[in-house]
Amino acid sequence: MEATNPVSGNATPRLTVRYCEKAFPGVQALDGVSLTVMPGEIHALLGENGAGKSTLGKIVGGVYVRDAGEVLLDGKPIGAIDETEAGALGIAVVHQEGSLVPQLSIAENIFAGRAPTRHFGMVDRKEMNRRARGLLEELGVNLDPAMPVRFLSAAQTQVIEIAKALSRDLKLLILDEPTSAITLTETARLFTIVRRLKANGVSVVYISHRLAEIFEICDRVTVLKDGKVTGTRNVAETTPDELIRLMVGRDVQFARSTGGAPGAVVLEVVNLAAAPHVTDASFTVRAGEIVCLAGLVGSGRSETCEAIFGARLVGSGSVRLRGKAVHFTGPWDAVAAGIGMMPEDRKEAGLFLSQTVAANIGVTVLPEVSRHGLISEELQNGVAERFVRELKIATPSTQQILGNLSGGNQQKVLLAKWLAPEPTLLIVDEPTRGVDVGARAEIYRILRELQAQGLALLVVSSDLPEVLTLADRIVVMADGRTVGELVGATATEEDVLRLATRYTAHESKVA
Amino acid sequence: MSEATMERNRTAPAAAQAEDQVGTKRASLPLRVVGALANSRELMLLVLIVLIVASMSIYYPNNFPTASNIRAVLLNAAQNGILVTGMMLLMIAGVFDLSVGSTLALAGVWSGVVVGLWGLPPPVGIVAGCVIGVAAGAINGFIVTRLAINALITTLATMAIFRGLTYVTAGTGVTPISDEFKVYGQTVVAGVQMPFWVMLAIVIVGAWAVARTSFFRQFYFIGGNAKAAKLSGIRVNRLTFIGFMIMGLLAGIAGVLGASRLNSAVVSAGIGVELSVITAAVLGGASLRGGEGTIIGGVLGVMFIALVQNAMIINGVGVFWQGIIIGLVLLLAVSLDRFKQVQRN
Repeated sequence: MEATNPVSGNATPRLTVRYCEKAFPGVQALDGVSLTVMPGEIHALLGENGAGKSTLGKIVGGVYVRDAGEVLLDGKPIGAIDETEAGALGIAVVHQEGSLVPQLSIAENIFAGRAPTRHFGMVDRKEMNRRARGLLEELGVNLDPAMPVRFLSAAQTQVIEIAKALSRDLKLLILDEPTSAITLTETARLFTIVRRLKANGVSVVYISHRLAEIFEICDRVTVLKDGKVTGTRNVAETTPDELIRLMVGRDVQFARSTGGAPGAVVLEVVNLAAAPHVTDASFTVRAGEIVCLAGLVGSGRSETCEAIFGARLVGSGSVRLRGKAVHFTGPWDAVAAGIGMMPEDRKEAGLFLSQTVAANIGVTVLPEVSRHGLISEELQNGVAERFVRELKIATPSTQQILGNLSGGNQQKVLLAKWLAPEPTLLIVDEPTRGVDVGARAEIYRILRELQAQGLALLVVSSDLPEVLTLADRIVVMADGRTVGELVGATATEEDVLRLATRYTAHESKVA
Repeated sequence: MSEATMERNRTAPAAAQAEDQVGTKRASLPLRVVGALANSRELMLLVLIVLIVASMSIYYPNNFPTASNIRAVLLNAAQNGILVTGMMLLMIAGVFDLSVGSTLALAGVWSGVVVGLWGLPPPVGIVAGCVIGVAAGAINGFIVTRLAINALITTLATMAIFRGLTYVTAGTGVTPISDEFKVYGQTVVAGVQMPFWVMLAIVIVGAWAVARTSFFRQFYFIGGNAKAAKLSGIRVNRLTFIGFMIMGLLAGIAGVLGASRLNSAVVSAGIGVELSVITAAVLGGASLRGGEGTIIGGVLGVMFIALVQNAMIINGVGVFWQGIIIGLVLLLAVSLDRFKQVQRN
């Protein structure tokens, strides 16, 4: 299985990972992963969302501690380390969250905690700026080291992170989705830097789900799926189709949509743009139909939904509801027009965890649970009790504080909250995030029932089997635009991934 | 974003409920009393107030339970009682207003200028004061909701600006204002001066409205989770703006009443009042994060502080001690909450 290393014959690997395991509550993120990276090699970690690639990067970089397995650097085993210790060993992780202090200067950030000093521990700014400038020149960028980091673009910030890593003896650089927030020209510049590092013998672990980039700069690629390695290939000897097969290669467990007889068009989105994440989205959703928005993380699916719901400013294009163009000033207008939206993050954006189940369900129908402007506990409890029964929400009473319920039941309360106003269009962003398998099946059943009752459903999901299970039609998005449409009953995961990665592939001219 | 961090802090409902049930079944009487007090801030304050009144009545029967002393306590609580109604509403929505003391002074001084210097009829002065108050609140609300500057910074700035405007308007105040004007604040009904009755009316209406109307109920959702409230179709910005205007109006009313009662528009009126009102609100169950608290709680907080002040003066321990006592009770009440939360998790 192990492909021969194209970089150097039989030297000691820079990084060796053996049978690494890591579990989070409810998820086995890594399940016996092994991998080697040679000195001066650019090694890609490829996989779907949730495959475990970031987890592996964070374990090597000291962000997480592994549950079992071995990690060796230049043949020497390393134990449970934190990020600082990893840095001292020459391992650096550049991830999206970033580790820079925006208010401090570039140089201060590069030498955080290790600034050159003069007498009495005074920071030698001149020396620090001089050395920082040297590092930046090495990376081929021309920035004033005294400038505060907050004035930098996302791409420039990334370069500073790399410079920070270079400021100590860098052996292994882990780049976690480095191109998700930067433009194509900036990506090209980043690749130049990565190639320069490679020439100096630095090994790079390149985490991405963009095939095109992997073919452009990586030497080898290891594909992960559900926490396991499904294969390691020399990039020169593989094809995008083979990699997609390795990424997917699993059985679809839930029964597919049979494709009912959808009714009239409820939602029509034409050339919708909402800067900066949505550039050009067009699709329709009909009554009694489930349309899934699929695509990679960051492709603008959630933002498209927010724009439709009035929670995000629409730049251009139009949203039509039952044939009439609508212009919402905010979500309140969307609610009044008969749209509901279950957001992706139920704790942050969906629910009021410190309030009761009844209050959470009643919030979208305040006028209906009030008499003469006064809240009626009786009416509110009545509505809540109906949904507790219908959706089988496991709660001792409707007066229970919502935070005490399990994730799956909270998700059902969120659903109830949006069914209460009886919408004609329901947008569901990640219907089953963080719920267990049982609740998942039940949520699928409920969504199907709603579909049968004639509700128009727009579902966003990063879980491809879920998309294939639920969708009558699949609309695929990439880089802020809708790039294709598939029939739910016949589409395969490969089809979806091919569309979702094609746009970027095309742009960077890969066969 | 990490891919596998989903559900790392999933709640364990069964365990929490089981613990709760065991707790209520096994608890002894004193523990249950402590539990009830910890669960309702209103009840805790009520018990403390009764304790203070009872012990003061026993130890100082000639000074404390007299008509004139009770009158004084109630009158003292009037201004802060009016203010806490608005402050509680804002704190439920997760914001607050530090400029209330300055707004109060500005409104009082303008009513003094309109009536005392320009000689216009008193009702015009009262309306002028209220309009100034609403305008001040609207300015705060505009900055917080439209310019998205946080409430602390915004009202810290307007606190200074409104106080400055007060000095600019009438450097040394207006004294006396007029005999027709002072009736509004000095009229005695059932033994207590007007400001107390106005406070009572505002508190009753406010407590009812916040507890029962669906309009004001929305403030709890805003404070509980502003993002979720917005995505539930609640007009977060508009309501917050209205909350600030109500706060301004109440500060205006308090300012006008104060000026009328003293028949003098004092430029230094209400200095430091914002902190004692916020203290009373937090004592009464408000949280800086928002989503919690009742108007009744806030008013009980005000009454408690007024009683502590009064008791300190009567028993001769001295005014200097009141801050220490109020501060300790505040910390105690809040730690009790913390304790409750830790136990629940």
